[in-house]
Amino acid sequence: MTTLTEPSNRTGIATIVLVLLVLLILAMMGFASFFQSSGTGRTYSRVVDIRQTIEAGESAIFEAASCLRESMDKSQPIKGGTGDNWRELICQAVQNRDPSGINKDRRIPPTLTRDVFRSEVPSLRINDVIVNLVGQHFPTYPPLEGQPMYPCGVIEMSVTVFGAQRILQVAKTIRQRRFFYLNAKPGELSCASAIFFLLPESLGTVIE
Amino acid sequence: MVEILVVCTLSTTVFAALMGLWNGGIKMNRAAQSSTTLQNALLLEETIFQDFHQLGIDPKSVNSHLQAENCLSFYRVAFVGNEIRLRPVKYARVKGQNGLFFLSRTEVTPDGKTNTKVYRNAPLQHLSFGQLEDATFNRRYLRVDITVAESDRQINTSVQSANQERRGCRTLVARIPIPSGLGDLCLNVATKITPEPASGLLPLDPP
Repeated sequence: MTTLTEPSNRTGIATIVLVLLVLLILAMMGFASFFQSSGTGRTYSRVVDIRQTIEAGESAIFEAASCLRESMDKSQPIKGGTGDNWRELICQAVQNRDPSGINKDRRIPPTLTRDVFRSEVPSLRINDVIVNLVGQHFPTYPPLEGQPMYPCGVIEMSVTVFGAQRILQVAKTIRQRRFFYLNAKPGELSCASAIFFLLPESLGTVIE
Repeated sequence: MVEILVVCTLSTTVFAALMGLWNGGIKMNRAAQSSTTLQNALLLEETIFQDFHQLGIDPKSVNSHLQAENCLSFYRVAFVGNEIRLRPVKYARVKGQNGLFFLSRTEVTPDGKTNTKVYRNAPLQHLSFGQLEDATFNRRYLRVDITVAESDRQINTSVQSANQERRGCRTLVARIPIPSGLGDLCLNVATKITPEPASGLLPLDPP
């Protein structure tokens, strides 16, 4: 018959306590390293996610600008979205000197950009590109002194992209403005013959 | 006698285990500091990257930006209605203790106030701004080199010992976007590109 106060039992209890202590320290170290790596991983993921959303947004706007230029050049409606024929829209606005018909949040779907980014990052979500006319100069004919003769304007394109990692909730809206002009005077404007120029370099990018 | 032997053996084992844990703890601490340092460098780089991405150019100004080794000043674009406003932004290095620096970012807000933020949680060993020119395509690039020190680096007294420590280094190179048609009469009547009222590029700090 032994009791807890006997030396062999005390040694056993001390051993167990020491082993538990070592295990506790090991567990704490394990948790600390887990949290550390988790924190580093989250920061890195967030940074990568934001970069991807910005790149995807800029690519989407670039694709939309290409579609817009094609529609202006060939006078054909853009596939998908609101399916607008931008040559007709702008010609009508210039002839009527009234841009209100254009500004209705017209949309262009960035299908190629979506395909490319989805093949790399399936959960990245890219909205349609919204196009608006934000500034214009539709001159009277004959033009007033000191004013340019050619119709021109500034188009704003914006797109919202949601990051791949839903838990981090990355969502960025990228806005760009581009300048365009027509080489035909309003009095001589013919929708069929006018040549449109949409400049490739943006006037600025805003990330919100 | 046997009990003493067992206690001695156990004590030795526990001591050895604790020494191993101590050593492992120190290594983990170093790894954690390196990781945090790299994170700080990454976050500073991203902050500057996003401002560079929104860089704008005043058509009436000769320079798109002002640059010295310790300072960089440029405009950031903001869309306000039909106009494009240019908001002055300046990055500079602020001297700290023990040969360290801090990054400071100054922005002029639309109401004309100057808003300065110093990133004191990321002490820097090195920060420099430079410009690269590509003569072939006539393009210009801005370059930022950042070396972030460990955040508890203040306990060390010499820069030499700091250089042997772990640190996070990042280099950012971004092309200066130059919009087409700047200064064109047609563009001027379609939109106004102007700096915020009563502000120009923020002046550079003396070296």
